[in-house]
Amino acid sequence: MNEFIKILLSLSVSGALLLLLILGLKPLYKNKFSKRWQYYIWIVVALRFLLPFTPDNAIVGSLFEKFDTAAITNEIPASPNVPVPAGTGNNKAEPIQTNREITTAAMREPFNKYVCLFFIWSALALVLFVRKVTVYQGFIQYIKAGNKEISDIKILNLLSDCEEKLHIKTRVELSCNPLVASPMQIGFFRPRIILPVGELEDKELSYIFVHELTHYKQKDMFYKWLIQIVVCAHWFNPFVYLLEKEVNKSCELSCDEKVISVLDDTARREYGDTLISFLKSNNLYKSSLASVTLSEGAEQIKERLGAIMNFKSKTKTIRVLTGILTLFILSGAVFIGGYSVSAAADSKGTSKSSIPEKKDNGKSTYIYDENLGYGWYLDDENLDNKDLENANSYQYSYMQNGYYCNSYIIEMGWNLYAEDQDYYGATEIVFEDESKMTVYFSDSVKDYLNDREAILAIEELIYSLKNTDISPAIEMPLIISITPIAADDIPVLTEQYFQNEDLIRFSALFSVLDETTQRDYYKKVYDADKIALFSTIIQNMDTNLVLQYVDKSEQDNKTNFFAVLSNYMPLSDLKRYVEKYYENNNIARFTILLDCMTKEEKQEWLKRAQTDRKTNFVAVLSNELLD
Amino acid sequence: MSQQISESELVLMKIIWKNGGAALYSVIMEELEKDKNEWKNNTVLTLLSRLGEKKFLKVRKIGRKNEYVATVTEAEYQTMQTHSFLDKVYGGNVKNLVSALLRQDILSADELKEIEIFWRKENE
Repeated sequence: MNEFIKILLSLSVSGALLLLLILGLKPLYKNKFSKRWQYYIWIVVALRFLLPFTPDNAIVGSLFEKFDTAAITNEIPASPNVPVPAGTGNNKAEPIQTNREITTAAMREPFNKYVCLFFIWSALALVLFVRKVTVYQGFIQYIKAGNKEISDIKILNLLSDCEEKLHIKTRVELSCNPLVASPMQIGFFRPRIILPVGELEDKELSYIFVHELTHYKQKDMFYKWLIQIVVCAHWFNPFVYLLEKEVNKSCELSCDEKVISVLDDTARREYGDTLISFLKSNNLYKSSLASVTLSEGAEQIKERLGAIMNFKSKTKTIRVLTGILTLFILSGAVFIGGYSVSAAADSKGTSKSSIPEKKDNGKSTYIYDENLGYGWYLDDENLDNKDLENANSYQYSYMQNGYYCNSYIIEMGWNLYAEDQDYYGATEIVFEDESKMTVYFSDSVKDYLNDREAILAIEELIYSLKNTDISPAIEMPLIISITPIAADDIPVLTEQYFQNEDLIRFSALFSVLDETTQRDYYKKVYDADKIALFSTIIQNMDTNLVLQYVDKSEQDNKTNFFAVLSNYMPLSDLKRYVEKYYENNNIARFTILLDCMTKEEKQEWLKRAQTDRKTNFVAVLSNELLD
Repeated sequence: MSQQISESELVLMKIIWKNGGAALYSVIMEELEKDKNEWKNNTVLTLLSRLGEKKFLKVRKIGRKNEYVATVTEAEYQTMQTHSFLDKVYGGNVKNLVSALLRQDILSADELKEIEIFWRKENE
């Protein structure tokens, strides 16, 4: 919901910016470019208001992200939000535990606020739109009641001539109506021209027909309703009403331009006369939204007449310039951008390479929660990309992990939501202590259902895990993949999984390596900057080594490694580092370590920062405590 | 089928009736040209589809061509028209009509006698 509001607001801002850009350029193009161009260029703005596409480095996008991150920290050279895949052994549950408390508390309050905003927005948008539709329908009914078909062959032939001239294939109905004061065209797919009652000269009639048919040909009804959708969706933005006005005005100008492009000077004057003659009569029923009429108000007619008399064919230079300006505006539309969830998530990881990519199969999805700076893997079998928004509810209840047991690498997930279980089959396993558990098998491992040795390995694995304090406890285990491995192959395969960054299998085999080899891999993974791999094996590291790597990552300025390592530091050392960064005014590092502090500790630091008048620390801490 | 057929629509209906109650578009256009009516394609199409909307015509697809089929015969149409004419102008009273015709010498005494004979025969 939060994301939705942000996207909506960012679209509103970027649409308005583009609108202002084009309006600002108006003196450049107003009398030079074709009116047709001046009409259709607004489509770009309308689409900017509606479509949430955005490049990576969009202006508004980054503006919103800055806004986002500013709420968390004041300045961040490297974001502290380092992804730590949860799909790894998780013997140390405490750091995660603290995170969980923070999230649930943080999510509850803004949630209500955003839901509220969302309902206000959607209710008003809906009411506005329904009202516009009913007004239109009412208008059409009103018009239809007074309609009388025109059967005069002469007039019908005249209309046919105009249709042929404009290459319109659709049959256009013609009727007259005492309720309208000036000619208009209604209907989206079955166009109908409505003439006011009264004698009209042939010439006048042909101008009217060409004008109204041009409206139909330009698909003005669709355009106008597109603008109405923009207005409804962004009702809170005053600029959309400006857009509506500009489009309505340029619509008529563009239509006039098209009509007079086939006329000579005298005919042009006559066309102008026709416009004026309808201005004199009073409109009985005014609804500029519902239809495309021939005339509106005196002011606009004046502008239209001016345009008619100043009409010139566009020179080649003007055409080239038009092309250039169009490109400029289009790229402007793209680069103004909007706020998008994916872009925000991208920029918040320390760098793109730090988001682990699972290369061995394309099925896994890396879920990255930008609010938490926390990432984890889920199989697409269990979660659609569309469900990303719901991912919050999955984050700690679902675990997925790889283990090595009895010459099998077993990739297992557990605590699935029952309704999400998409498994191939299940088997009941009886453990040594006679307790039972149903184990589910995904489609890719269905062949192992009848493999006694594999089942035994799974049984042993789950039994051993059950007897540890693993969090969350194992329930509804789903076997995702099974890889049989010969003991001799372990060194070779470990190296291979390291190269391929196969997190699950690498971490599974890593735990059975001897200590020296493990040390070598810590170094290799660290030097290769493979943060994801590092975070999967770090729980095997002893405290001394953790401290060594903390120092090392500090010296090498590898903030992401530092963040991961800080979760595994003993509390006393942690305090030492917090103290140091506070003294050195290193707010970025300080912020990273905040995650490992309790609420009381944070409050103490807040007091201290307030006495020391370290405003940036105060800001960060109070923000953290507010959440 | 209370709707009225306009004069130009009636021209088209007559062509279709003359053609045996159904006619291809091309036939209609040929007939119109014979009568030196300079009707544009779209004009004819508009009128034909209006007749369709009023349910006087049905469109039958023959390959890619449209055949227009009358749903009423000329006689039926005339009866309908007479009725609505009588209702509208003479309040449904034939006597008033006949006396009006006689008074204006549109109907001669001889013709009236003829009608009387026709009427008696019909009722025998």
